[in-house]
Amino acid sequence: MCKILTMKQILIILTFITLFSCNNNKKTDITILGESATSIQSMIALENEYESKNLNIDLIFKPNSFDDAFNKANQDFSNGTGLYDIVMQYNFSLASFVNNDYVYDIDKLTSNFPKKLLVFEKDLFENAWKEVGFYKSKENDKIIKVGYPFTANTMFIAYNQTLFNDDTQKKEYQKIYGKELKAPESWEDFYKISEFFTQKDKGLYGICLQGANGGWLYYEWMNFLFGMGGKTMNKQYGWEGDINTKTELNSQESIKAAKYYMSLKPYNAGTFTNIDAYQQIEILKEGKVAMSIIWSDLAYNLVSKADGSFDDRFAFIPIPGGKSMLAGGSYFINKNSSNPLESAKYIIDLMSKENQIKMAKTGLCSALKTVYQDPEIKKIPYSLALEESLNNGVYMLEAGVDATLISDKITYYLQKIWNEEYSVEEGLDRMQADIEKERKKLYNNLNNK
Amino acid sequence: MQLFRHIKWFDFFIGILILFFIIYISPIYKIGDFDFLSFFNNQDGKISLLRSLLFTIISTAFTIIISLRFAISLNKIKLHSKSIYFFSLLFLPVVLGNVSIAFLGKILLSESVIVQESMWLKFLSLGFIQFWQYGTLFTYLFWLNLQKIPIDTSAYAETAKLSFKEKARDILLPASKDLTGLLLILSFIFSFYENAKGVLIFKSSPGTNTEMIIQWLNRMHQSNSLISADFASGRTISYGIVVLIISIIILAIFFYAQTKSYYKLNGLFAAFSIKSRFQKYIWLLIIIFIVLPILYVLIQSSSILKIDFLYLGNPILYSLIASFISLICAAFIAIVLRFKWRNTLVGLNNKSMPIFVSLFLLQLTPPIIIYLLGFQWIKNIDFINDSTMGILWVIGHTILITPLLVGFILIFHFNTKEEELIYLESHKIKFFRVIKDCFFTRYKLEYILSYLLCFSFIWNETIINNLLSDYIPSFVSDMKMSIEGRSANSSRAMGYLIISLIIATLIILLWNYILKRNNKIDDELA
Repeated sequence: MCKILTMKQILIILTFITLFSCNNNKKTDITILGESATSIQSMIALENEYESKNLNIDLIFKPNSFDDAFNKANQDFSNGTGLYDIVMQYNFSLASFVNNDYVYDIDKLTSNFPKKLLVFEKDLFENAWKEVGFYKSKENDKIIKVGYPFTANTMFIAYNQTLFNDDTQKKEYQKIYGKELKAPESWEDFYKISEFFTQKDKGLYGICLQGANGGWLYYEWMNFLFGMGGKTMNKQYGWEGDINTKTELNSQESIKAAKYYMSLKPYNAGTFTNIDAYQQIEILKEGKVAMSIIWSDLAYNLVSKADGSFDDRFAFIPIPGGKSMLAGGSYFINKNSSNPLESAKYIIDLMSKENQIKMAKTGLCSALKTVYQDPEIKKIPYSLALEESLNNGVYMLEAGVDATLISDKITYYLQKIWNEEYSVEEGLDRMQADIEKERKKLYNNLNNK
Repeated sequence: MQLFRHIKWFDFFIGILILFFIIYISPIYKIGDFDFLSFFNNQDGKISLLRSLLFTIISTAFTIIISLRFAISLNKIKLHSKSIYFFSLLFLPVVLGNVSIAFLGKILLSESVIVQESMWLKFLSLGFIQFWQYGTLFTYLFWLNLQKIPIDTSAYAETAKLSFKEKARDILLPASKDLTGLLLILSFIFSFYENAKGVLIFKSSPGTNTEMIIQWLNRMHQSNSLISADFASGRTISYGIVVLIISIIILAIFFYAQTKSYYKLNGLFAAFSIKSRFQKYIWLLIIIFIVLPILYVLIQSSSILKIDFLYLGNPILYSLIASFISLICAAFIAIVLRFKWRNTLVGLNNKSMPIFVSLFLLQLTPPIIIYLLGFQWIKNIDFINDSTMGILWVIGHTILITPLLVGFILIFHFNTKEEELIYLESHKIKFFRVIKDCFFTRYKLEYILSYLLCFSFIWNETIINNLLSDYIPSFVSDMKMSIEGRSANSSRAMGYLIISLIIATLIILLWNYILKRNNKIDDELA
């Protein structure tokens, strides 16, 4: 005999199926791609907290090397694969991301968000944010907000205060230069201290410079160039400019900055052309170098210890000249993201003062001003120098379509000058001519695209 | 077998081999916007290409000549000798992988002012490291190959009291000719596209006159990406194809020159005699040369091994699977090719060289092109999750490594002479029996070694592994991030190096165990 299911039994089965489906709601995945650095690592540290408050969200972090993060972001945007909801990239990507319509305009995306969620915007270092998160709209050339900063980086001086506070060194410095030995506040003092602390009999060096390609030499030299009154181009933000904006790299100020930089060669620790920012930190940690101009997001690496305390050998001040570099990157929301609004909400949550303080304690260079008033943050040895530098921050780094071209050419010629293949004047003249020639080609390609 | 030669399905499978290349590069048509001539307007590109070619030719010649010379000197040490277990250390550097070796080199050389301030010393150091990594493997492969010389021939040489020069001219060099050709091609590829060591140890750059072509391609790609990803991909592929064509032409010329001058090596070898008493201490020399630099680095650097090992489970498993599939495919394809082109594929010579170059087309293609095409493949897959990416990972590695493995297997298959196959054919021995005896059972050791090397190449590979690292954890990507970049951490990098060493040691121990068992079986049969 066949047993046929009654309507009642079918209804019960269907009810169970429905309940079972309701109890297995798929979470909303938000995938975040970024360079493996303190910023993404500090976000990962807050992952559980966010997910416990937002039970329908699953945060998936994809930390990569710089090259892979850059390529994966660009290919994902271009291919429309939507693999990453949020991309953490640096300001030189602004041109490509906006001109090719890869990412959301923040104002348009958050237009229906309660205003109180966006209160943090007034608390951002304005120049820093504009440097890394604004760009000209493709439609009408209006300046638009494209991303909130995931980090506000700069460069400042890290100096070994153990060496500076040594009585013998202090007396000797006073004797030679007729002034008190302290952290340099002028370029003249910077040179004197580099010279003074180069005591090869004791294995000491005055300075450790970053001469490696890949941007390191370029970034470092920009501190000297702009700090001494020179500039790459006449503009307000790194992402501004076009073919008509000429470079000014063979000006008198540039020559002065380059000669000054080369004059530090006898006092330099390390092998220069293969020293990048990380190796510089390792050399500083050895305790045999008086000072260096370092990246702010590596300062935590320099001073933090496993037990949570700080290495008190090092102190920090802004670079001489009254202005500092602005750098860093933004959270960009992919136009092919399946969850742009949820992504925006997550980013806004990260930008809250509470979360920024938590992340700053593990090395983040926060773009929020009030973070630096927190008593715990004030205890971090570099926080004051970082705050001052961000307050005095100006454009120093290129962030247009020609950014990498300019960075590569400056590095090329400075390395040649360092190796005495060109004099300073000849090197800078060639640099200027070469950059203008290549920029012309690049902008032709851009217009023909 | 006469009938078998004409079976059409041979053509079908050869078509599949050709499709390995064509299928992988097929998404190229979607990229468009090519401009091949613009390469010739770029001074940096031309200089770095010339620099790479010069380095490659010198490094390759040096590596091949030295490794062959050593192998010939070690020829008297037989497979059953106790020294052979130390010999296995010769392929420790290659199974360590490029990134691990770059890290070792960075610790040893990055603070050397003399090396870092001289372009010539940088290239000399790089050439030496290339020899340390590949020349040692080549020495081992040459030596293993020389063990295949029939006992009668060796006995004749002893009885007839042939001089070293005569023995080299009549027996040893002819026996090594095919392998020399193959290793020359491989060394050319490895040196031409050398990247990790140049970047991590020497920070190669145009300003220091050390930028190689692969670094220039990567730099141009990054710069052009600021315009758009499509524009950058189009330009990079254009430049890459030009580089590919030029490299094939130079390789062909180099190979031709090698075949013409091969036997002149005899004179060179005879001029540099290595005393036979050197063989007694060979195990010591191998340890000093291979192990000492590694030990020095381990002692110099401290490390707390805090790495989470469990995440390595998946990539290890996938590597084992991909290696196995690749080996099976490669063995099968090698046999098919051998029977399809029996008159051509009797050795690696000017006639068969185009077949080998065709096999290695994917390896000759600039790695960044393979990487960019990989993104196109990801685009073609609709449903992306860890499982589909796992399958894509295995397929990608299989496509990349199988042709290389085919070339390698073909070389040791050349020890099965055409005369033997004709003899068996005339005696109407069944085809599958011939395949089993002449192409499988006879080369068990070589297949096992191929599998181990294949695993190592896949494990240490940096294109597919980087491309899919978001889904299948990549040991080399993570190690590279520990060595340089904003998350660089020398302690963690040392931890990764130790893991590399553990894996490499396990591979060598496994190989020694297999050798020992093989010797035991041979002894019992004797």
